Amino acid sequence: MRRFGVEFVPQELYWRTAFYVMQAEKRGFDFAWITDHFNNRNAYVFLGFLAAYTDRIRLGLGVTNPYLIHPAVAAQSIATLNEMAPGRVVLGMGAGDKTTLDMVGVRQEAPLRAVKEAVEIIRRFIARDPSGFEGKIFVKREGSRFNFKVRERIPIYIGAQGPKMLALAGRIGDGVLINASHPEDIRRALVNVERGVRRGGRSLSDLDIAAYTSFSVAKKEKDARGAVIPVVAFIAAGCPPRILERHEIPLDAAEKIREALVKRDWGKALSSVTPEMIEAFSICGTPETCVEKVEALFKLGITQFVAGSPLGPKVRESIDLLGSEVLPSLREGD
Amino acid sequence: MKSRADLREIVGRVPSELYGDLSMDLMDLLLAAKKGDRLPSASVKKLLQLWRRDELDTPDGVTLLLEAALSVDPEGTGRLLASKGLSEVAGKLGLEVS
Repeated sequence: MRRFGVEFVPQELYWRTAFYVMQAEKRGFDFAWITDHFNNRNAYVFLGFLAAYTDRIRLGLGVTNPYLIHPAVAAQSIATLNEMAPGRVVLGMGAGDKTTLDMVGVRQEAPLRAVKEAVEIIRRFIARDPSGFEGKIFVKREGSRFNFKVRERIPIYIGAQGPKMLALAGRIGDGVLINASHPEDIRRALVNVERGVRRGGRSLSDLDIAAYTSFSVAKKEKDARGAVIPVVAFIAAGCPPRILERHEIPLDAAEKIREALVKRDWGKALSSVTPEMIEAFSICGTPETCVEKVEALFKLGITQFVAGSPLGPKVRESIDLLGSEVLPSLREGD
Repeated sequence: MKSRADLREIVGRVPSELYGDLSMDLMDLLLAAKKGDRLPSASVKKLLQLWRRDELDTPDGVTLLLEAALSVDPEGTGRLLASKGLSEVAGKLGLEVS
């Protein structure tokens, strides 16, 4: 079954993002993913608010990391959220954003191990399992457990982009949030997820495979592209060389954007974004174009499409367009 | 600032067929307002409760939206009302409409 998610970065006033999440619920989205960076509004607190104002949509951290939020606290937080929104809570766990972690002096040490151990500890706490766990990074002492029951299962998705994290997601995740928008990147990611699935003795159908895209839709192509440029600038600037080469984007073109962003020269950074970068790192355009591009991802094997930031030039209108023109066509293909 | 009862009475002068568009335009104004952080949390909660029940386009919803819009962007509210052919309503609210 095809699932549809929407991602929000809680950088606006909390009630504005809440309005959009409620709108997304009304327009038929199944998941709302809230990003977790220390310099935005706190995602866990915000999800608690959303739990009280929504009824059906599933609420997820998209994604948290074990460096700033200890696995025991992540487990406790989602277990509490689950009391507020029973059966609607999902946890996205990833290695965090190196740049943001650097800002507060936190080292992104052994990311694969950190994520793997965090997931293990969170699952034990959620299951109220009193057994101990001696990881190399995280420890859960024998006898430690919550003083309250978690009645529903809380799926854990792994946020991944690199081959090893994708394979880990295939091995241990209930789902994977693939940070990519282009079919070729998704195709390659799926190969790695499948590698992990096999290693874990599982089947691909055990996982919800989500393409976590940079997305922008508008009635006019030009407006949709204009809105996505700032997001693409950041993606291109932080993109590993092998992915730039895959999309035939000159390394110096991305470097030029990176330098401009470091100097906070927004004009230069944004004007250096090329059509090739937009094509590689986003899904954008009219509803018809977006349907075609997302359909191609479903055909590759994803089971959830996540419309990520910026959504469009005017968020409310874009959510309406998604609900009225994009999602219905994509559901037909299910 | 008008009382909510006054606003409700003024909203009563707006043709009900305009409630749908007007409510979303007022919401758009709130979503973009630079001073959106001045909106009292009680108003925010009430707005979201009405949104949850699909009641922003009711007389109560439009009244609350109008009250909120006036508190964060009176000039923009005046322009919006004028663009909807509601200059008289703007006048009743004491808004200057050029």
